[in-house]
Amino acid sequence: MNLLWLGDPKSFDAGLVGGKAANLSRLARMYHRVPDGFSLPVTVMGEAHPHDLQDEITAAISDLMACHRLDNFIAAVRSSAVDEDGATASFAGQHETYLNIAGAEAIIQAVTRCWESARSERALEYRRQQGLSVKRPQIAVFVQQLVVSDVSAVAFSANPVTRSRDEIIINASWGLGESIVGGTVTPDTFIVRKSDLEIIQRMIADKQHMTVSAPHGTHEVEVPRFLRTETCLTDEQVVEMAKLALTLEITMEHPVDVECAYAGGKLYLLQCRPITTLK
Amino acid sequence: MSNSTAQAPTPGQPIPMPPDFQVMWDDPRDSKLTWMTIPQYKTPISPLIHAVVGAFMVGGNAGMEQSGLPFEVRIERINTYAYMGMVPKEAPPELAMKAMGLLSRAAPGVFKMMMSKVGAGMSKQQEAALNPLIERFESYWLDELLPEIKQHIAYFESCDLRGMSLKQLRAHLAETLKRVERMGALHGVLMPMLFAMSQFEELYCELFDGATTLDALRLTQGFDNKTMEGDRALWRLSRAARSTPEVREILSRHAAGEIIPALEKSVASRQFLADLHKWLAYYGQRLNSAFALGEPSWIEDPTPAILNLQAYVAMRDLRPEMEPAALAAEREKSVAEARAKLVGYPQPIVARYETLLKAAQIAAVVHEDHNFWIDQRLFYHVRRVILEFGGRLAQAGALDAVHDVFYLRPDELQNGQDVPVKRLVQDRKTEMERFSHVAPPPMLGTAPAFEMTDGGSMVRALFKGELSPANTGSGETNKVKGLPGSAGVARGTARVIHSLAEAGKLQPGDVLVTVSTEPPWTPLFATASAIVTDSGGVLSHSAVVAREYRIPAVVGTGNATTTFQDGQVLEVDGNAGIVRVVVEEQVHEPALVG
Repeated sequence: MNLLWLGDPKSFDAGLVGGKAANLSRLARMYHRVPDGFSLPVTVMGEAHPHDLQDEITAAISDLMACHRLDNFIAAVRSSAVDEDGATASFAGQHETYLNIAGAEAIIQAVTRCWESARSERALEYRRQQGLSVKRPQIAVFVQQLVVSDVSAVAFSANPVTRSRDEIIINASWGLGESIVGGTVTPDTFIVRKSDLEIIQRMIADKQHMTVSAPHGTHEVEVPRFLRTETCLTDEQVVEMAKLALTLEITMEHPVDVECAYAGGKLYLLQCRPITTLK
Repeated sequence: MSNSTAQAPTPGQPIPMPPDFQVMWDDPRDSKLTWMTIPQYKTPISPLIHAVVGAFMVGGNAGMEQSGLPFEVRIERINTYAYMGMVPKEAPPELAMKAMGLLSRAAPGVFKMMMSKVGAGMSKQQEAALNPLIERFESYWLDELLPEIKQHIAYFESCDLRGMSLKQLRAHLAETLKRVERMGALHGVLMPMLFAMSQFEELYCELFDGATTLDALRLTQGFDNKTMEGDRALWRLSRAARSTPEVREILSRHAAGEIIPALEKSVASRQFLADLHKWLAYYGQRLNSAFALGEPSWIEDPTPAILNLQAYVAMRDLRPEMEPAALAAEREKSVAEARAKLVGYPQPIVARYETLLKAAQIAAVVHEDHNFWIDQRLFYHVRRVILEFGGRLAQAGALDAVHDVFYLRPDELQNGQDVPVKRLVQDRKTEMERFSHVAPPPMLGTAPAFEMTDGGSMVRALFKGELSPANTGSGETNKVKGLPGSAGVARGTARVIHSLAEAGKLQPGDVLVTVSTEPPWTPLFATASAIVTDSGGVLSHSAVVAREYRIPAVVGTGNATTTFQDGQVLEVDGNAGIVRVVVEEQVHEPALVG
C-alpha cells in the first residue's frame, strides 16, 4: 500500500504528505466535509516511478468514484516539496498545481509530470544551491477531488478589519474561489453575530466575474446579467457557514480564516488557517 | 407605396396629416396616442374584417396584461385603413407623453438614464410575470392552451351552418366573435413564446464568447411542427406526382387553375387526386394571410397549393440539409457542445440555461403550431360563417352579392332588416375605393415622446419578432442591410412577391423578396434559395421558418421590396444581414424538368 487516504492518521504528518494534505486530513478526520482524495507520500515519490503506481492510482480513483457515486473523477493534482524538518519549501519544480484533471489516465500523467519536474535540471540545480539532497527529491503529491463550486466563500471567524471577535464575516461569490481570492470580483458580504448567529448585515454586490473550470484548468468569465445582483447565499447557507467557522475556531482555539464552497447544495470545507493578523 | 413626404415628426407633438388623409377622431383622446400602420395591411380594410381583427386584438390584451406589459393594443379603422395604437395603462397618455417629451428635449442625458431605470424595472416586472410560465411552458401549451384551442376549432367544425335559421345564424355570429376574442387571448401564448426564445438567445450569447443569435437559435431547430408537417406532406405528394407519368405531365403542362379539372379526367391520376383532396381538406384550412378573410381559403381555391406542387415536381430532390434527421443531428451536436462547456459553471446558471433551452425549444414549435390552429384554422372558419351570412342575405335580395357582407358591421348584420344595407355597402365601397388611391401616413395622432428602445425584456422580445422596427434603408440602390435571420450565403434571381397570387413567378433557386411572409407561404421556402423581408426580426415567422428550411434569410431591411426588382441576381448574406445585387438583369430560363 503506497498511497495514503485523506483523513488517515498517518497523513497528519506534514513531513510525509506536505502541509496542505496534512491539514486537510486532520479536518476531514473531524468529520468535516472535505473533498476526498489521497496522497503519494515523499517515501513513495522518492522511490517509485509513477508508472509503477498506475494500478494503485487507478484502483484508488475507482474507489473514490464508487464511494461518492461519481460518474467521473475530476481532480486537483498538487505537488509539494517537503524537507526533512517538515517545512514546506517553495521553489521551482517542487510546487506544481494541475487543476481540473479528469479521469485516472490524466491524473497519472499529472503525477508523472510532478515527478519529472522535481527531477528537472532546473530543480536539481536549485537544490544543489540550497545544499539539499539531489539524490532523492523530497516531494509529495496530493490528488484531491475538485468540486465544481456553485458558490465559493471565505469566512473569517473574527472581523479582520475592526478586529472584533464578536462577528463572523463571510465573503461569497459565484463559481470557483479564484475570483474572490484574486480580488477580481467584489463579493457579497454577510456579517453574522456570533452570540446568536443572527445575520446583522447583507451587502449584495454586482458580481461581474467568476472563475469556472474549463478543460485543462480554469478561466475567468463574466457572470450572466440575470445572476449578477442576486444574493449568492441564502440565509440558511450563511448561517451554516458561520457555524462551520465557529466550530473550527473552537477546535483550533484561535480565530480562523475558512475557505469553503457550496457544490450541489452541500457545503465543502476547502482550507482553514489561523488568522495571523489579529492581536 | 412609398412615402416620399415622410419626415421625422417632433416628439410629443401632433403629427401633421396630409390633406388627402385628414382624420376626424371619434374620441378626441385618441389623437393623443400614436397610431401606426400595420405592414400586413397595405390596402383598406372592410368594416367586418376590422370587427373580427378588433375582437381578436381585444382578446390579445389579456396576454399583454399577463406579461406585465404596461400598455394595451387597439386596432382602429382610420379612413378605411387599419392602424394599431398602443394605449398606456398606467398614466393618462397626454400627461405622460408631455412630461416625457419635455424631459427628453430638456435633458436628454437624464432622460436616457431614467429610461434605462424604467426599462430595468419593467424587465423585473415582465420577468416576474413570465418566468413561471416559462418554467412549465410545455405543459402550459400542451395541457392548458392547446386543448381549449382545439375545442374552439372542434366547435366550429361541428356547426351545421347550412342547417341554421337566419336567427340562429345571427346568434352564431355573436358567438363566433366571442370565440374570436377568446382565441385572441389564447394567442397571447405569443408573449411567453417570444420571451422564452429571446431570453434563451440572450443568455446563450452572454455565456459563450463570440456566439451569435443564430448560433443560439440553432439549438431550437429541427423539432417537427405543423408547418413543416404540412409542407413535407405536400412534398411527398410531389414525389407521388413524379412517379406517375400522367400526373407529372398534367402538372407540368397545365396552368394552375386547370390542374384539378385535368386530373379529374385522367383515370391514372385518380389516386393522386384523392391524396391531393385529402391534403387540402386538412392543410387547406387556411387563408392567404391570417386576416385575409375576404380572400378564398385553399379549400375554396387550391391554386397556391397547386403552384407549390408544380414547382416541387420540377425539383429532383429536396436539399439534404432540409431533412428532419439532418436538422435534429445538427441541433443535438450544438446542444451537447454547449452543455459540455457549462459543466464547470455554477448550478443556478446551468439550471436557468436548461430551463430556457427547454422553453425555447418548445417555443420554436409553438411559433408554428399556434399559427396552424389559430391564425389559419380559426379565420378559415370565421370566413365560412361570414360567407354563409352573405349567401343568405344575397339570396334574400338584401345584398347584391355574397361578398358585400364584408362592408357591413356585425351590429348591422345582427339587427337585421331595418338597415338600408345596400346603400351602406355602396357608400363604404366608394369610400374604400377613394382611399385605395391614397398612401396612408405611417404614423397618425401624436408622435411618441421617446423611442421605446428598451421597455424591458419582453419589449425586446417583441422587437425581435414581427414588431422589429423597420430599418429606414440606406438609400443605396443595389444593396440593403437588415438583420441576420438565418445563416448562410446564397445567390439567386430576385422575385418580389406581394401576395400569394404572385407566388407562381418564384422558380426553384430564386430569392423570395417580400414585406413579410405569412404562415401559409411556407411551402415556397422549399423552392426559394433565400428569403429577404422588409419587416420582422430574428424571431419573426420568416426567419424561424427559413432556419427550419436551412436557407439564408435577411429580415427587417425596411426597403428590400422597393430597392430590388424582379430579375436582378442577388447575393443574400444571412450571416451579415446584407443583400446586394450581383448581376443587374438576368433573363429567366424556363424551369428545367429534371
